[in-house]
Amino acid sequence: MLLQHNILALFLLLAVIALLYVLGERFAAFRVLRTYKAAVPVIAYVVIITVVMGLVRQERGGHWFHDMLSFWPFWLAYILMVIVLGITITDRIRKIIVRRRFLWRTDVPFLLNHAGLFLAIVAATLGSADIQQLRMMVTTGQLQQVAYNESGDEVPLPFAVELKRFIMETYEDGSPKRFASDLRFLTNDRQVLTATVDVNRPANLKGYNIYQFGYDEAAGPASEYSILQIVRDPWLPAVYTGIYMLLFGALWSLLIKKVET
Amino acid sequence: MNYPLLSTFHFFQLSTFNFFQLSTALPIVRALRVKNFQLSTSFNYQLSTINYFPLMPWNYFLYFAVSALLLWIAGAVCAWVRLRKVALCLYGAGLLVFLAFIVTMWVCLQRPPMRTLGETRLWYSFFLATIGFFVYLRWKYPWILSFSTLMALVFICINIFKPEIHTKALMPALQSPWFAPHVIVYMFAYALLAAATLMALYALFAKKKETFLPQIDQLVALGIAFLTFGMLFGALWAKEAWGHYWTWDPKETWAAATWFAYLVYLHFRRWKPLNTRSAIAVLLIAFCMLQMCWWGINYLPAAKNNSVHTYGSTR
Repeated sequence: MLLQHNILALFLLLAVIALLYVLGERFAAFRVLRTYKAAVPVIAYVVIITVVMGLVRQERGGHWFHDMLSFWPFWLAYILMVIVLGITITDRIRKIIVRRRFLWRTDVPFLLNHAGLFLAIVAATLGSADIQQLRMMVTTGQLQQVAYNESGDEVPLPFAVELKRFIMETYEDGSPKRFASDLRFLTNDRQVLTATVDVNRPANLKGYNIYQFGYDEAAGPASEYSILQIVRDPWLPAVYTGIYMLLFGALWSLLIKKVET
Repeated sequence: MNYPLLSTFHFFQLSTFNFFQLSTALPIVRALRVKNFQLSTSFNYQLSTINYFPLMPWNYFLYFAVSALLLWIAGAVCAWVRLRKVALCLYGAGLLVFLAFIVTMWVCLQRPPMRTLGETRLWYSFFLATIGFFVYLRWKYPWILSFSTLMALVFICINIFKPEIHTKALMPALQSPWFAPHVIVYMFAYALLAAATLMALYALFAKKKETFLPQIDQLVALGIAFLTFGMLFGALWAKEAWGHYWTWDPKETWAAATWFAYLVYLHFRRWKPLNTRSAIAVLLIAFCMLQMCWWGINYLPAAKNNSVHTYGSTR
């Protein structure tokens, strides 16, 4: 159901961008949206609202500036930026088509940078509704199939997990050097799989990423349980496409830039 | 003894004496003595994590660093007087000297020397110099070699005077191949943007502001590219380590604000190329935000004890 909502929002966004672009053909006031005159104030607005977010302590359920992620001026900033981005990209694509020539030196980094940012922000924002971020406590000799979400509700998984062994190494001063879990998985289609999950080395199973999250810190290496974080993010490929476009855009602009001295 | 580098063996022999005097009681030392230093066969990863061991190649850091620096300075001077080929040769030789030290350490430690802060700074100095070399090769700015030499010098000096190389244990969250690139490209971006800001301050009081702007623009464009790398490497790493690529952690919030602030500069310059005063003002504000992002948030009440980016002095 949620997927439908954010798909709907996506189409609405694209429709608004198309509409504003078409209006730009008729009215000069809307044509401004394609120019730096719109881009600079919009990015400046994003900067200001993000700085406010950085200056004010953020709490979930806080009021106004204290919970920016649910405060409309914050959303508005990013929505405006995404709209202006969309219009700019449309305009550039149209210019490329009209001039019937693709300029590798300028068009490639422009499209990679702008479309990459557009895709990353839109996919990350709309996708956040579909992210499942779960915690699970596993112990040896016990198959677990239920994880808990942030509000403490049980969420069934398409596989069950069992802790084979909790691994812990410490430095000489006793601080943790490595903690990891040897896990055994039993999937709903009766496959048995094993994996070692380390901090920084998650396992991947059926679209779920499984992370080492915690352990019994009082017991240390003798911990009898291990806490896993289980994440599913169906929009991740879109976000990563955007991120990699931005990375290649930056790389391209590094390699292609001409001296202007 | 089948060492890839003859010099490695030499260092080891020279430095073993002090080492034994200091810590004969350690089991690792006894084990090594029994094995008669046959490191290439007996020295496994587990042994290499003993804290005292990585100290040895560091004893020779000063000689390598000073010779590399002299070559770099000579190269930088040649670049100013437009002896391009000589500059490239001297500077490249400096890079090879520095790289030789890193390779030696790598061989001695039998792991990539990236774990401690000192080791990271080693790479930082090296990459700064290397990037300077390639930027000079590609774009021919005469100032870039001096700039990268100066930046490398700062971090070499920190390594010489405040090594922190032996006792820094790396917590599991930082043990990732993303660690070094994330930090290094960010540091390089900060360095470039610092140079742009210095030039902007100079331009602010100069009579012909416009003449400085093209060079400032180039520095900022480079800086933004590296900021982008740093931020997105961070996002990719965060996904691996914490399960999500962006959590609006205070450090991330400030990083985003800073990135957008430099984008304001980039777009403003194209919008109003003649309004240099405002452009410089934007640049100065953006640089203040960068400082906030880098170390300022450690003192910010809103971010205190509220950031997953606090690792003591590791960042």
